[in-house]
Amino acid sequence: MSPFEQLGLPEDADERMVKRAYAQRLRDTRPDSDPEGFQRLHATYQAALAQCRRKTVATKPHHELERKPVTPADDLPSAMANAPLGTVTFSFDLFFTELLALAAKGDAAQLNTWLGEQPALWSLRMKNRVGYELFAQLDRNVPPMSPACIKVLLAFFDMNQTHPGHDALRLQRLLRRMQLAWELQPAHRDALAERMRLRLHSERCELDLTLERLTRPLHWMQVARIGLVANEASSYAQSIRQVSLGHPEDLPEPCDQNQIRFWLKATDPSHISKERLQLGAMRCATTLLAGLLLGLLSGVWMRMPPDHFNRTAFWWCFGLPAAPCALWGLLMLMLPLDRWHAMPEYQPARWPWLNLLLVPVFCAAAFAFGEADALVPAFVFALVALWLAFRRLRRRNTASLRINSRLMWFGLWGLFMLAQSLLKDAGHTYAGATYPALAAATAMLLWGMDLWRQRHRLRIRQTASR
Amino acid sequence: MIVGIDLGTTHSLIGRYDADGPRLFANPLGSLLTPSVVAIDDEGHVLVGQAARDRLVSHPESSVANFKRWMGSARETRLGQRVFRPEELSALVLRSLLADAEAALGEKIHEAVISVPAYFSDAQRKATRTAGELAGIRVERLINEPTAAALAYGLQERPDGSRFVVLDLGGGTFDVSVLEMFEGVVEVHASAGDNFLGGEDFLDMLETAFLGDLGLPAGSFPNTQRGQLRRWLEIAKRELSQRAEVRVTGQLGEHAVDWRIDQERFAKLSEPLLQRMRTPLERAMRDARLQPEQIDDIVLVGGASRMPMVARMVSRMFGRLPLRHVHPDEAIALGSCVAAGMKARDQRLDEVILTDVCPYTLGTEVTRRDGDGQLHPGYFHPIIHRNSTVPTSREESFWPAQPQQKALQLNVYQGENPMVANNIKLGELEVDIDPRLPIAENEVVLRFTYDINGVLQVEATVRATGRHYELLLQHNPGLLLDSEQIRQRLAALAELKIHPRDKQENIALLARAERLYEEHLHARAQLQAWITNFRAVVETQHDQLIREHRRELERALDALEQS
Repeated sequence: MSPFEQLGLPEDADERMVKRAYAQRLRDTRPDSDPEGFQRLHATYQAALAQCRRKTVATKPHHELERKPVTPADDLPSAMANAPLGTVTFSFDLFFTELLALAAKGDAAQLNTWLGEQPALWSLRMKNRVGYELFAQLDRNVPPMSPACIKVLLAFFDMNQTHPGHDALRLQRLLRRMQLAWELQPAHRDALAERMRLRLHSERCELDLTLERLTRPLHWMQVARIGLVANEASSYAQSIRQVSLGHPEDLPEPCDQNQIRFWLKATDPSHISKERLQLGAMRCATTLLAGLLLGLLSGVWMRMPPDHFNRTAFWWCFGLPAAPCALWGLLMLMLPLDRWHAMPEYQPARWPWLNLLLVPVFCAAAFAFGEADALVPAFVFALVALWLAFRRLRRRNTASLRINSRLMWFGLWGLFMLAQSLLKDAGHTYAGATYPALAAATAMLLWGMDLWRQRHRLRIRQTASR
Repeated sequence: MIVGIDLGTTHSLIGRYDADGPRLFANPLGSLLTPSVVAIDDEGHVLVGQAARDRLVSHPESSVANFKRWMGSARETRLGQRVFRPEELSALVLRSLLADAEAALGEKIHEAVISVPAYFSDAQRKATRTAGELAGIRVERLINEPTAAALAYGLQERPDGSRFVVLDLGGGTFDVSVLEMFEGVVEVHASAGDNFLGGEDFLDMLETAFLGDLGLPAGSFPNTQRGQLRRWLEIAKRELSQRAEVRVTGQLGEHAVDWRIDQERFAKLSEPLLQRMRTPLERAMRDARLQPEQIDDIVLVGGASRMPMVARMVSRMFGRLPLRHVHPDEAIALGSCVAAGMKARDQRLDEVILTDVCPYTLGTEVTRRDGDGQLHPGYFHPIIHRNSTVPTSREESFWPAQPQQKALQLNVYQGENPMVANNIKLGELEVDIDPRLPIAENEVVLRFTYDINGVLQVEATVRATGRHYELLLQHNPGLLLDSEQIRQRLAALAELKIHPRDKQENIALLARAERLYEEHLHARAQLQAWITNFRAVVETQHDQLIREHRRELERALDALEQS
């Protein structure tokens, strides 16, 4: 039912008729005595009015159309240039240039006075359009501007408000980018230091160094210089975040985004990324190389015979750094596995069947190896299964199940000891395969617990039912 | 019996809708305007109105003005032995007004319609209601000041089918409303305003300029002399509306003052304040989606709108001269009387229907996700947009930002800024959700209902469980009084002593004489003698004698002030 029909009007009713019908119906549905009825009536009335306006707009010639303020068109400045407004003429381009020149000085009070004195902006209609066009232009150019000047512009054009059609996220980003462009100019370093609350001289020097580094392109020499000093990489990433108000992607032009992205990703411990692997690989390689060199040098220095050197110095100087490198490699392998396996049930994972049955498969392998008396692989499989099952249970049930991890491991250890003593008491012949079997059984227990807790939402079941 | 009250920053008025339409009641001094000033005299009696205003000069430590600006805050003022909240001070003014109305009508008044600035917030509106309760009346309705002015103007002029803008520049607040009248319907399209912009700010500006010219630092005068100075500047400000140049001369403590200001300088000094008036006006016009040429009339109300540069500013923005049809000081009070008549279902107002708007945006805090999937917290999500016609009720759905979230914290905000940090928090509601459900199934429907009296109700429903949560924004700890506190304060206020009505003329005259004693150093001995003499006459309680002496003293004081 169209709003016109609801008001008892023909489809070609004009605005006056709509208003008359609304006024008549309003007598029976007053806003104070019948709020619900009034809301319905008012909604109908607004819809009818909107239709009327659309009709009148459609019959008007095109140049009289009201411009949608939300998306200022590109041709607006030219259309507005030298538009007659009483005796005042106004050119947007000139206005914009002058405004940028004033903003470059950074004097907010002067900018405010200048804006207030603009004769053309006293006109309600003009100011509205200029405001939207101005912010569209700023979005295109992103000129450096001090926070005080930005505030003046926002207040004068009344832009800092929630309004249907305003993209708040985009506006905030624009403001941030303009502020960063301003603060990263060498002349305004004091303002930046003030914002970051850096008072000491050493802190200022550090800031200068960070800013200088930001503009360099990504180069392996720089990566080596920063990555090989302890804590340097993470403190550099931290400074990047502070300088950029937490949004490194908004840093202005001379800053090298490639390099910034590299360091942020390389120092982010929550994800496995190419950059992190590269940095780790570089560190490992350098350590190993240094160990090798050290071994060679010490050999030369101590004038050892070559056969003796091969055995001792090699193991001490090369093997020692190799151990942490190997551990790191193992960790890099395990972390993605853990992440994939402990993914919450509502997130789509690859290979859902394998994701579900990974622990049983590992446990089966542990049992099989145990039966075949291959104790080392049995142990490895059982322990990995236990670790995976535990992580899965913990990560997937954070909300409903609070597990203190230390307590859990102690509990498991106690259970393990108890089972062992029980087995001994029962006169069971002691066999090496018991330990892997126990670990695998515990893993299966934890896995079963998780399965039971997630039984309503199992991905497998969902895909089956759909 | 419902009365209409304009509770202003500087002046208050009361009236009702009777046989001849809206009618205002005079106070014992014969004036329709009662200054919104409260004082406690030496014996602990409460003084309201002109007497209190005169005591603002002679006894600044036990008098207070401009407390409307503190409504909705917990600020307390010490007067004599007691500490008052802004609600209580307003209640004392209301009591004085009600006494005038009751004296004129000869019956007890129980209900009232009170006008408030359109841009008053939720807390400020509630404080005004509390003030009514403390004065012993039920506030039937709060009407927005520009809407009231429009009612008065509209019923007088009957401009059928026309759109007009009402600008209300009062003592402490500035409001703009865009309205349309057709077929007896008064439809408010949009309201906007600034709660801290009014005639008092122009006075502050004059004071700063005065001190600057004389090379004196701020606060160089003790309170009495400052009160005196502000009174002079107030007179100068009023005269500047008519005269090209005004001279302020007199003796302030040890400083002999001679200061001149002309209209041009005054206009230049007012420039920053005038600039501040542009934003609400532009906003109201934009929200009403009207162009300046679609407006038929521009109505200026409020005492401060008499300043010529206000009219000049409006004409610059609209490209024409504003019209002034109604008495700027009384329009709002007259409109409140009309609203009171409508509330009482007066036969002659049956044709008139008023639809008003909610002047500010109400919404909640959300976390937004950008194109890269990064979360940005602290954004304001409007639910009821400003200038929606009230009553209105709107609902929107929200989902948790993170998986496995156990609860949603729904913070209710009022304001226009896209970031909640710059808006006013009204309250919060915590809604429990099932953390095991996927995000898309954890929908919470939030409904905001804003009624005709400006009361906001917030409801939340969890879709999955059907559980219902409700938040009635009534308890703002600290800012507003709860019902128990209101009862206590009502009892405390009842204990305050008030002079009987027939004595008030004498008291006002004595207060005026005391003020002149402070201001006129050369005539102090004479004034002292007059005051003692008049006090003695009042003691005799001989009505005829008192009346004669009062007239005589009044004449003498007038002559002194003229010189």
